[in-house]
Order: sequence, then C-alpha cells, then structure tokens
Amino acid sequence: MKILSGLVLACAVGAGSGWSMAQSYQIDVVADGLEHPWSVAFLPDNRMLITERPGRLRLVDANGTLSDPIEGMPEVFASGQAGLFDVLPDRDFLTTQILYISFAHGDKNANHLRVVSARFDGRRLSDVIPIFTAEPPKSGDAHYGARMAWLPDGTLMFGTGDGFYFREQAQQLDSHLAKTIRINADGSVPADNPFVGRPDVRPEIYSYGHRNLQGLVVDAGRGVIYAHEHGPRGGDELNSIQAGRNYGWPMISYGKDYSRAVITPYTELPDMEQPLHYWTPSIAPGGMALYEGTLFPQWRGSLFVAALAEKSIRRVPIDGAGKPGAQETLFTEVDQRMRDVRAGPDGALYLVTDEPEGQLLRVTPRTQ
Amino acid sequence: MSMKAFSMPRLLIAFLAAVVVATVWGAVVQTQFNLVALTGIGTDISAGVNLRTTMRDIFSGFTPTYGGYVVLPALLVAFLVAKFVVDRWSGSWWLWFGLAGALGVGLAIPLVNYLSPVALLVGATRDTLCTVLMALGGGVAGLVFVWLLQPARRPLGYPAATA
Repeated sequence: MKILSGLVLACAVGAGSGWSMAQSYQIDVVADGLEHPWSVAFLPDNRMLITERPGRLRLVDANGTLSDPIEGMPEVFASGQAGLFDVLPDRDFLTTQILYISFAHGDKNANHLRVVSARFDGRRLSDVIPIFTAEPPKSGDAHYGARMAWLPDGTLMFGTGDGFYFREQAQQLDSHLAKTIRINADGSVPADNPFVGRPDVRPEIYSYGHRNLQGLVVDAGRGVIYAHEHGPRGGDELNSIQAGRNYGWPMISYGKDYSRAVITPYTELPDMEQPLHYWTPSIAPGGMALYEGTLFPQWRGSLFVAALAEKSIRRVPIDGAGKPGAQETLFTEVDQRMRDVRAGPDGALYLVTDEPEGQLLRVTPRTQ
Repeated sequence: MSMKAFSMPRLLIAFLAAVVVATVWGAVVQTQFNLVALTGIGTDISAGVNLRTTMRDIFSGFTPTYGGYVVLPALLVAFLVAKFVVDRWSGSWWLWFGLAGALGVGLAIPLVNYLSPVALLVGATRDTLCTVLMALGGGVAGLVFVWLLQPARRPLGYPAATA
C-alpha cells in the first residue's frame, strides 16, 4: 500500500466543520494504472469492483491487487465521454450475485445509455440482460449521465444526459435524454412513477430538465435524493430530486455557452426547480457520496462531490433542513481530476481519479 | 489597386473593421439560433428579451471569444490568400475578398469546434445553417475591408492621391 501523503492537514472552513489545524488525514493509493476509471463499488467480502471507461470491469482485493478484466462484459461504445460507466451491486448481492452496469451502447451515429443486470460469480459475468436502453438513439459521444443508486423501496434510479447536441430533449417527455429514470430491478416500470399512464410520455421518467447528471445519492435518513449535474460554462448544479419535477434545462440555467454566449436569458421560470446550490465557475462534478462513517465523525452527514475540472473533492455540509452549507475544498494536493467519491464500509473515503493512469485512493485519518 | 498603396495604419483600420463586422454579425446570428431553440420548446422570448440577449452577446463574453479565436485568424488567412489570388490572377477585389472572408469563417468555425476541448465551442453551430449564416458575416467583412481601402474621392481640381 503506497502512501501518497502522510502529512496533509485538513483545513477547517466554514461553520460546523469542527476540524482544527491539528487534524490530519492520509491518502493511500489502493490501485493505479487504471485507464479513466469511472466508478468503484464495494462487495460484501471486502473486495471492490472498479470500472474503466474503455470497457473494463476489474476486481480489487483488500491488498489492492487488481484483477484482469472480468470476462463476459457486454460490448461498450467507447469514444470521447462514452464508455463503461457505473457498477452497482444488487441490494441482496450475497444471495443474488447480481450486478447492475451502465454504459454507452451503439456507435457514433446511433448510441444509447444502457443498463444491464448480470450475474457475477467472482470471476466472470453471465446472464447479461439489458433492463434499460435510453430512447431515442443519438449521435455523438458526450453526455450520458449514468450514475445509479438504489432507492429505499428497492427501485433503481439513474441519470441520463442530453447528448450535448440535443439539449431541448431535456424538456421532451417522449425522450429518455436528460432525465432521472426510475425502474424496477427487472427493468419494469414502477406503477407509482409520476408519468405512468400519460400518453406519449416515457413512463420510466422520474424528473426532467437535466443536462448531464453524474452524481446521485439517496439520503434515506433525511428522505432526500440528492443529484448533481454538469452545467455548460458555469452553472453546475446540486439538486434535490422530486418526482415529476422540471429542473429547467435548457430553459433556465446559471451557465453560459462555452463560447460565453447566452444559452438562455433566464435563471428562473415558474414551475421549474431551483438548485440547492450551483457552481460558477464550473467544478465539473463527476460523482457524489454521503458520508455516514465513523472514521471522520466531523464529516458525518456531509455530501462529498468529486470535481473533475477543479481536481478536488468538495465537502458540502447539510443542515437539519437538508440545505447545503459553506463548502470545504479537499484533496487538491492529489492534483488529479476526481471522477468518483465513495464512503467505504470501513469508514474511509475512496476517490477515483479520471486520468489516463488513474488511481483508486483511500482517505483515512493519519496514523500517528 | 495594390495594397502597397496603403499605409499600415489604414490597412489595420480596415482589417479591424472587418473583424468587428464579422464578429458582431456572428454574434447576432448565433443568438437568434439559441433563442429560436428555446421558443421551440415553449420558452417565452419577447422582442425585448431578444434584443437584450443579443446585446449581451455582442457586448460581453461571446464577442472576444468568437472574434479572437475564430474571426481574426480566419480573416487574416483569408485576406492573405485573397491578396495572393488577385495579385497573381487579377480579378475583382470585391469578389475574391468577399469569397475568402466567407470561406475563411465558414471553415474556421468547425475547425475551432474540432480543436476545442468541449464538444462545441460555439454551441449554436450544432445547426449547420447557423454556421453558414455566420460565415456570410465573413463575406460581408471582406466587402467592408475592400470598401475601406477604396481610393478617397477628391474635390474637383485636386489631383488624385498617387499609389
């Protein structure tokens, strides 16, 4: 286990963080040499699964030993931002051995976000079943969303993207693009989805008006679904996701075109949700975690946001009303694009860096 | 007409005027495409909102980005090529500088989009028609450039300025 930094001090910023300058953490490299890793997931036997965007799924054991790519993966469309994205074990993985995997499927002229279920026996995947394919197909290789999370009722939620060129489809309910999607684990549609029964509306849609949703955390204790999404130039958002609501893109935005042109003159419109927080300039949020561990008691209840462009982790404390407080910018000394952040079952924070030689990092209190 | 007849300040003024014309033209065009896309999904865009948004794009961040990264280098190359053509094969300055300006901007937009680290630097150019109409601004810029280099009219009785 390599020590990346043994003497990094955590700075206390903002009210309520409680850290003094004497507190410290250490960052260990768990695995490296990963090609644009996208997600890490924890198995009950203390092993981890990690995805690499080009299409590889690997096991990482407790010693950090990286397996060969797991066989049986479905074919992935890997180009630009497209590739293999998230992996999520079944809620009853010990019994079912089922994984859920999101990835880009198709080719550059016609591709989709796809989610499959697959049986994993510890060595290879089998019984790969597509349970969701975003419609309509789109061209290009950008903006897929793809982050998944389990809801307390056993349904599966994930975000989709607007494909960059098709932002108006965020407002079209006959398209899966730029939405949050909620389905049952077998791919069927929950009867209580907000648009079930409406003609010409995709019944899998839970909320709409998103851009490229890559962070999704279910806070069962507070009863809140937190999600973040990339804005254009500025205007990255942290939202509380509610059934059937319109989050406004592209009709409202706090961001601009990359050319600095105006995409929309509006930041607010009636019947459209405002973000809990937005980031301008963009930090490019790639993943998110809710920390409820014991190794860092002062961080309990905070959201952690992995920032690609800012190369940091943002700690976002959440108050009793579920609203974000003053943020803390962490781990900038790693100086790598942060794709994912997870709270491990051991109480550590795990970071996934989006680099050609990416790493899986573990953050723990500094040992004396 | 030879460019050697013109002082550097006059050439610079004409070139900068051409850059400004093409840049403002492009700003107005792409604003309209962005706003039309919004009205297509039910956003209410009044004439006043349209005008304010267009002014924002002209007088804030888009203009230096588009003007600096696309228009200026495109017209510089285009006008040098046009000069080479008229020097070698003669022909109408109006035609060649207008054509060069349009082609220059029309090629520069997709090139800069391709080189950009994001999918598109100028989002409105996801619509090819927008690129074409913005490129016309390069053509107008070429005509403006030639017009500003035309010999000045002299009052009767005074000799024309020598080349």
